[in-house]
Formats: sequence, C-alpha cells, structure tokens
Amino acid sequence: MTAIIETGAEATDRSDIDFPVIDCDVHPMFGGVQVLRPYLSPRVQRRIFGQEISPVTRDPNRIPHPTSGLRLDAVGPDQGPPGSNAEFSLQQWIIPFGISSSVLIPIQAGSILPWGDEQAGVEYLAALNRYFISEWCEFDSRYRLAISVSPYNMKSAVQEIEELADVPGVCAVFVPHAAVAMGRSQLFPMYEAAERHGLPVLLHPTGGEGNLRDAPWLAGGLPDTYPERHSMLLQPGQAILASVIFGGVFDHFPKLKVLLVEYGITWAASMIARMDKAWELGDGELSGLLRKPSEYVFDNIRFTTQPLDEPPKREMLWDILEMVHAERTVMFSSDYPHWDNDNPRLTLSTRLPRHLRRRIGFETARETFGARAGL
Amino acid sequence: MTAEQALPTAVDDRFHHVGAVTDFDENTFRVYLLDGRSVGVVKTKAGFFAVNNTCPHQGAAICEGRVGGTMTASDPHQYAYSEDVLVAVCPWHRWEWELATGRSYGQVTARKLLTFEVLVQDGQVYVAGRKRRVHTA
Amino acid sequence: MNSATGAQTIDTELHLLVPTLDDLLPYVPQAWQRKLTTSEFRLPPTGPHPGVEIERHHITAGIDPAETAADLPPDTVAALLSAPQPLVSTGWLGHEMAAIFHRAVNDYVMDRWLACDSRFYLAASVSVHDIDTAVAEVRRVADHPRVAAVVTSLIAINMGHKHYHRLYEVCQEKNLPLVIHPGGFEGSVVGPAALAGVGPRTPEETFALLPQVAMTSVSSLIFDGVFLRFPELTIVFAGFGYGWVPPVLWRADAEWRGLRVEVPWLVEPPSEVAARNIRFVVDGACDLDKAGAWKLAEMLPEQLLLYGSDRPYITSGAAGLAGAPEHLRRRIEFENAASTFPRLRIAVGDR
Repeated sequence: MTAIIETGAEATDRSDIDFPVIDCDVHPMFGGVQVLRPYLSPRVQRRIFGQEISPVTRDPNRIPHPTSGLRLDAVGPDQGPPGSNAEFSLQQWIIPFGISSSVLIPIQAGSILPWGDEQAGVEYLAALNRYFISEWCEFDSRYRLAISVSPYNMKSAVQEIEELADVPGVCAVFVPHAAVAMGRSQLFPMYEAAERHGLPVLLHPTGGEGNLRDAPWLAGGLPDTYPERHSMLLQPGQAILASVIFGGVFDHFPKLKVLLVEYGITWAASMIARMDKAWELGDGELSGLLRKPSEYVFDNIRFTTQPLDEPPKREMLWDILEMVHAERTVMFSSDYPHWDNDNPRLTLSTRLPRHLRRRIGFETARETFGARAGL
Repeated sequence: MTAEQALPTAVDDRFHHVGAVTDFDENTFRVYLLDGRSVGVVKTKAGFFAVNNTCPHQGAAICEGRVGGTMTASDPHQYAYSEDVLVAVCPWHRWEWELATGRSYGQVTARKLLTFEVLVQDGQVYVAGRKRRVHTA
Repeated sequence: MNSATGAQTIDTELHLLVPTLDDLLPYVPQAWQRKLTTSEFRLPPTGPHPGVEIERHHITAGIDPAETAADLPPDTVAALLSAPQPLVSTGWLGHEMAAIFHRAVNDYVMDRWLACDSRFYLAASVSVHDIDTAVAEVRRVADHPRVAAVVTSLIAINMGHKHYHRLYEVCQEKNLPLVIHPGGFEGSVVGPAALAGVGPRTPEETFALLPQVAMTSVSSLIFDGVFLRFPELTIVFAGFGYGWVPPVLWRADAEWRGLRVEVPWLVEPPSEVAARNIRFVVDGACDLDKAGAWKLAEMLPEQLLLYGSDRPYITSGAAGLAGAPEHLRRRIEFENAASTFPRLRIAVGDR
C-alpha cells in the first residue's frame, strides 16, 4: 500500500497523440456475483451464488500468476478488485490517457464454459450484459460493451443480439471460446444475426484455454510455468483463425468482422502464408472456399495491439505489420487493468511507424464498429 | 578506477526534508514532488532509498508496486528467496528495480531507474531532488 | 537443381520410405513378426506427409536407395535420412509395438541404405512413449559411424518435462542432436502432441496449425530450463517452418522480463538460449516462396536455420534458397548444418 503525498501519476504528456483513441480491450469486472441478483431468476440465483465466479475461468491454483494477473495500482477507494468500478477506471485510465471510446470485454462470461445448466448460463450472460450496460455504458458514453452470448445455445444467442443490438453502448458480440470450433456451421445463426446487425463478433481468451475440458486446448501437452502458458495464448487465436476461414464463415457472411483480441498479431504473417499454401496445394478447389485465405484475413479479421511485440529492433515489428496489412487489420488495445497492459502514449507514438498511428489508434476501429464506436 | 562522491555529512540545499523516520512504514513508499519530479521514498531494513516514480518500461507509477526481496538465480524448478538485494516491483509488468542502484534485477533490461540520494539525520529524512552525482568507471 | 553457386550443400531432411511390411519383417523379432502379420496392423502409408500435403498421394520416390542416391543433386555432400513412417507411433497405444517398429526401421536403414552412398547419414528414430527404451535404442545405434542424429515425434507431454530428460542426457553424451518432426496424428488423435483449439479439423487447418507443436516445445524447453541441465544438447525442429520463430522468441523474452521471479533459473533472455541450443529446418516450400520469408529469416540469429529438401514430398530442392540474402545462403545450405551435426563434420572434410 502506498501513502501518496503527491501523486506520481503516469508520466508523459500526450503531445504526441493528437487524435482520438479507441481502446479495443478494457476489462470490467463485477466484484461479487450478488450484483447480478436483480437480473436472475431465483433458481439460477441459487445455482450461481454458491459458486465462486473466478475472473479467469479457472482455479487460481492450477497455474498461479507469481504476483497477480491484475495491475497492483488499480484498486479503487471502494477496495473492489481492479476493473470493478466504472468511475475509478474512468479517472485512472480513460480520462488521463485520452481514450475517446473503449470496448468493454467482460471475460467473466467465460464462467459458463463448463456449466451443464444451459439455462443458467443463458441467464447469467443476459444478466452480465444488462449489468454492464446499466453500470458502465449508461454511466459514461466512452464505455461501449461487447455483449456476451452463449456458444451452446444459438436460439438465446440470436435473441440476445436482436434485443440488444440497438441499445446505446452495445458495440460487439463476445462469445466465450468453448470446446466448439468457431468455424462450425452450428454457430452460423449467431454469425448471421451479428452480420445482419453490423456487429463484429469478438473473441478474447477467457482463461479456460488449456485448463477446462470445455475450453480449447493448447498445443502439445500441458504447460507447467506461467510464462510458458501465457506465451502460448496466441495458439487458440490461431485455431480460431484457421477454423473460421476454412470453415467458410466468410463465404456465408462476407460482411462479418471477427476480432481476435489479445491473441497477438505477428504470428499471423507466417500463418497467412501457410493458409494460402494449404489452399494452393488443393488447387483452391479442394478447400471449398471461394477466395484465398489471405483475402479473408485482410477483409474480415481484425487483431488488437496488446501485448505489442518488443523485438530487438522495432523495424522488425514494423516489417511484420506490413506483411499483415496492419493499416487495415490492426486496432489499438490496452488490456486495462490487467498486469501487462500497454500504455497508449507509447504504442501510438514511438512503438509504431508514423503512417499507422491514426489507423491503429482509431480509424480502423471506427470503420469496424461503425457508429457504435461513438466517434 | 572509481571516484565516488563523498556522502554529505550535512544537509545542503540539494536536499528536501520529506518527513520523520517514524512517518515511514517499512517497505511502503511515500511519494513527493521534488524539483518537478515525482519521487518515491521508502524505509527498508537496509535503510532509506529514493527512486523516480516512473517505470522506465512504460511509465507506470513504480511506487504503487511492491518492495521487498526477490528470487535469486537457482536450479530449474528450485527457488531461493533473498532479501540481500531489495527491489521495487512495477505494478504493471512487474519489472524489478534494485532500490540501491536503480539497475534492473536479473538484467532484463539495460534501462535504469533513476535513484536519488537520501540522508537521515537526527531522525529526519532528506532527499536530494536532483540526480545523484556519482561517478563510476 | 540445387545451390545457385554449386557450392557444397548439406540436406538435413531427406526422407525415405519402407515400401512393404515384408521389407521390414527380417528386422523384427519372430514373435512380433507373427503379431504384425496376423493382427490388424498395417504398415503406415507413405503419405500424406504432415505439414506438406493435404491430400493423400501415392509416393513412389524415396523407396529405393540407389535411385535416391542417383537423384541427389551433385553438390549435396551429406544428406540426413529420416523415416517418417515410425513417427506416427505417437498415435499408437502399444508402447512396445512402437519401440519394435522404430528399431526395425533403424536396422533396415542401416542395412539397406547407408552402405549405398557415403553421403547418407541416419537420424535414428525413437519412440518417446517409453524413455528407457528410447535411451536403449540410442545407445544401441549411436556408435554406427553414419548415425548423425536422433529423430522423434512428440506425445502430449511438453518437451521441458522430466519425462524426456534421460533421452536428452544420452543425446548430449553421444553428441547427437535431437530432431523433432511431425508424427502425422497431431490434432486428430488422443495421445500425440495436440494442436490448439478444438478438433476435428480439416487438413488445411492442420497444415496451418502444425507449427504450434514446435512453438510449445520451444517455450517449454526454455522456461523449464532444459538447456541448463543439458547445455550441450541441440534440438532441431524439422517440418514446422520457421516464420513464427521471431514472434515467439520476442514474446518469450517479454514474458521473462516480467515473470523472472517465476523462472529465476533463467539468467539470460530466452532468445539467447534458443540461439545456442535450438535450430530450425527450412523445408516445406511455403516458407521459401513468399516475399516475407527472407525478411523473417533475417530477424533470426544467423546460425538458426538449416536447409532440408524434404524429398520426396517436395521436389524443388534448394531452388528457393536462390532468393536468400547472400550472407544467409551459405549458412543455411552448409555451415549451420556442419556445426550443428558434429558427426557430419567428420566425413565432410575440408571446407
């Protein structure tokens, strides 16, 4: 605990950033599940309130972060966990860092992944959505919400999209990544509804990856240290990319955007080449796709910057950004208030080439979310 | 080939009075605005230290992190905790900075955290607001 | 068609195929001969080669040693042979059957191939289901003058795990790099190293995701401190491409900087460990053809990449190397392999 005599708030001024910033990855959290009570039926309250809703969809002892997965300086005056107070996040992050609009991604939605009680899962996600709309979006218009839907229940997913698509503040559809391949046709009703409403579908690690049977696994076997595991979280992102492309999602839904948030970017350069090669080996025709895989990546997939690579020379990152057409495919994200969040003052200045800063800082996000970006 | 500046035996005008020794809880930073800089001062079992309150990595407020010992080099999957070297741990990416030298513990980076001279005299704590003028080879 | 300048080339990935089970039986103990011929067992097919093909092709090359030797480009001074067919055994549940099969193929190659051409060397294969058996197999063949490496495929236990330590120990002791190659069942079957996500998946997805097995391995080896225990060990990844390596090493370094307390035995950045102890074969033409491929190669330390033809699955040979930056080409086509495989150096002579 720090006794602050004079605040030492995070350094540099914003003189390098003279454009609006859209932060595509901010995590709100509820501190105690009781806050959802008004939104839940008595039966489901009973089902849920006996459980501990972990922020990271796994038992913390399975692979504990050596210090904390959250920033150590993001506990507000109410002592709730980081990300649980809309006012505090505004004062600590949104305002000082000049964020014009942020995409809230409540990864506590991942809790439903192992629930066999599907109805409880549906109600819980609906509760989550209404809670964050009420406590965050209605609190400040700089907060935009990715509404959560269940990958297990397409009827409810579509219904939730229909009901909430035009609610002010709603900007995307977040679907926790279950042990269901994202390219499978059983998910098409959700993609159809999202495309029809102009809502991007957003994926983000829940924490269940490599831990739950009901979540995607990591490659190889099981990791045994935190850095090993954390560094491999790009892999479920790769799996999503391969699945949605070769599953033909974008042939069926050419206007749909799928956002891969917090999975990384630079692995995509060689993977795009491999996907195109696989397509060529089958003469294009064998895959059943109408277009080359790379075309779908550039048209329909978006990546976010955090955690931005720290190569020995920043030009190496810049070269890879060129290979993945970053002026079209990459959007800024911070991951506030997680421990490894990125400072936009650095990401959107010296860490990126000048010609990409505005594209990544807000333009691509504005195109992706449309009017829902709030700019 | 080291010419180290002699520690001051009297408080000169570089120093700011930041409080009494008894004001400080061990391993808890108190932050001051000194000569336009945000500076954290901490009492530890190894004495007082003062560091710039800005992490050289991405600018986080170092003083809102943790202070203590750390894990030293060891065999794979073994751990050895030591307080021989005390570090400040950044509240963001957890880079560790040696309180005494400002160097990165474990040399994860060549960047350094700015440190400031601290003087304790008659139960009062003084911090030099400008960078410590220490000449090293 | 080989190196642009006609300079000496080492091919670190030349595959051979056993055409029929009958060819193998003389090298199989009698009771197992009976088992393999009377049970449902079938000789693993010759294709598709994981990571290179997406539909099954009937491969006719790579079966005859004399023909393969004649087809070797004239500037190839050494070729490291490896047999893909035993590598599918990570998908088998019978550990003993796997061990018998690997051993039989090793004997087949030593008997029928190595004498055919002095340029042929063998990466002797082992099954990692049972490490004691794997170690025994390495000891059995290690003193053959033309055994230059050990090759295996991975089960769903990450390479940093103690499970593999005795294998690493014997490879280090015998100065044999350990080559890791896809087995063929990654992503589809329970037991082998998994591909991330959720199966089942198309061959195209498998092709795209296959490098993940090597990614996980690199991360696991380094963070679990394998090269602290076995500093002279070299691990070579063949069949997984290399374009993903720079991003993965950057990420590993970043993780280390923030999470050093979790892995305090790592006293240097992961990328420096990789530069010393890990190598990657440049095979699978997809990594060579594309514009960015050489840019990605230049982001790596110069000693990291090794040329492998991947014949008979790929027939373009080293044509793709013609586009390599000058300072890299010699490294990739000769120098790096010569220093990675000490046993190759002995016979290669003056350079």
